[in-house]
Order: sequence, then C-alpha cells, then structure tokens
Amino acid sequence: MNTCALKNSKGQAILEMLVVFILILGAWTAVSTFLRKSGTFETVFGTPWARLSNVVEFGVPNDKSASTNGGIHPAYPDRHSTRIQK
Amino acid sequence: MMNESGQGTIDFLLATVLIVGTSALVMALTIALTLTEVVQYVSFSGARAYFAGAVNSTDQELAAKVQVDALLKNLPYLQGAMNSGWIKVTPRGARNYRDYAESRGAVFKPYDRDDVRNQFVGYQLVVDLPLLTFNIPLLGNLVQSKADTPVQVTVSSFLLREPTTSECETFNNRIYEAIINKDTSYSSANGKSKITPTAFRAINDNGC
Repeated sequence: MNTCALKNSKGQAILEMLVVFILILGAWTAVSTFLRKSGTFETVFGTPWARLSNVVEFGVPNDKSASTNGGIHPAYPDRHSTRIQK
Repeated sequence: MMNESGQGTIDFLLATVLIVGTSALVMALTIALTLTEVVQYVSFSGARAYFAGAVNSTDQELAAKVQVDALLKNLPYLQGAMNSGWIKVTPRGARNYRDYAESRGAVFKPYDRDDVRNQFVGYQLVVDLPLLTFNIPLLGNLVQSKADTPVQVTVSSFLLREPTTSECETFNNRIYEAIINKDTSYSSANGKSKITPTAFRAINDNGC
C-alpha cells in the first residue's frame, strides 16, 4: 500500500479555492481601481448633476455653466414678456 | 471541487458590494434633491414674508429673516440633515438681486431699468451639498469636488415686494409737489403766499 503523502488529494480543494479567491479579488481590485481613476461614476452622475443644479437654480435643464444662465432665469424679462423696444 | 457549494456565497459577496454602492449613489442623489426642494420652500416662504407691505423696507427684510431663521431651525428633516453635515444652508437675505442676475450673464435692455422693471427681487439661499462628495468603497466619488469648489447650488424665490408706507408717503408727496408746481395759482391757495410741502400730509389708503 502506497503511503506517500504526495500521492493523495487531501488539501487540493483548499489550495484551488485560495487561488480562485485571489484571482477574483485581484480582478475586482483592478476593475475598481480603473473605475476610480477614470472617474466613471463622476462622469455618470457628475454631468447630470450640472444639469440638475441648473434646473434647481434656473428651472432649465442644460449643461451650461451657471455663470452664463442668467438670461434664461424665469425672472428675466425676455422669459415672460413680449415687448416692442421704444 | 466537483460540487458548487460556496459559489453562491462568493457571488453574494461581490454582488452585495456592487448593489450597496449603487444604492448609496441613488440614495445620495435622492436625498440631495429632496433637501434642495425643502430649501426651495424656505426661500419661497422668506420671499413671501418679504413681499408683504410694512412701514419701511428694513421691516420687510426683517420679516423675511425671522421667517427663514425659524424654518431653518424648526423644519425636522432639514434640521437633521444640517446637523448631520449632509447639507449646509447659507441665507443671503431678502433684497434686490439684479446684481446676481447680471453676474449670471443676464443682459438688461435700456428699457428694463432697475427702477422701472426688475423682477429679481426676493429671497436667496446658497446650498452646499457635502452629501454628494462622499467616496463610495471600490467605486469612487459620486461628484468630484475639491475643498475650494464645493458642490453648490443657489436657490431663489423672486416674488417682488409691495411698496412700504414710507415709499407711499414719498410718492404722494411728489404728486402734491407736482400739482403745486404746475401753476402759481395753486401755490397761493387759501390766501397764503405759498403752501410748503410740509403743510401737506398724505394719508395712505391701502397702499399707493
């Protein structure tokens, strides 16, 4: 009867589980690092925030800078009146 | 290794991180917009208090300030968010905000003079939302923000304001002076050589 410890499969599952776990963790870390460095979520949510903040401040959903939107504010005369210049 | 026990646990762990992160994003955005709506009501309430006529414009500004201070102190949801640091509200007060409109690029035409037609009169608040600058584990920032450029939005309510008692008196005195100056016979009425403007006392009947 062969009693050599290297000939049986004990511990094989644990080793493979560790390898798979490390691979998955590494892949996940790489993906999350890429997402953070590339600013994916800042792009996905940050750009809409510029639009949303313009809705809050001016009532108009556009992507322009807030410093140029005064002419589209509802209180601006041209937004609510039609007049002939004297 | 031939069975698949444990696979569900691994999937669950990975999915949990992703779902919790995405849920946090959506929750933060939802709470931020809800808080902004509450602040919008505060600015409206301040503008409404400012609108009502009073003895002078200082009293109108004071009425708006008292109203807004009370709301910022007592509104349960908003107060909790402010105490938690999710939102920071800075009242700018009630006044004429034409300069604000111009700083935002509004160009007024000559016939839209400030004393003739200006609808940028009301109450304004500035809202900082540190809530949106948090870092989600493994996913990154929701909105990138540095300390010197906070996630900020200006909330305004421009309802104009009624003329004050002192403004009505000034207006009525100008009418009286215009009549007196129109013809010399008016200035010598009642046998007097001249009626001084101070002899006239305007009585306002529900505004002017």
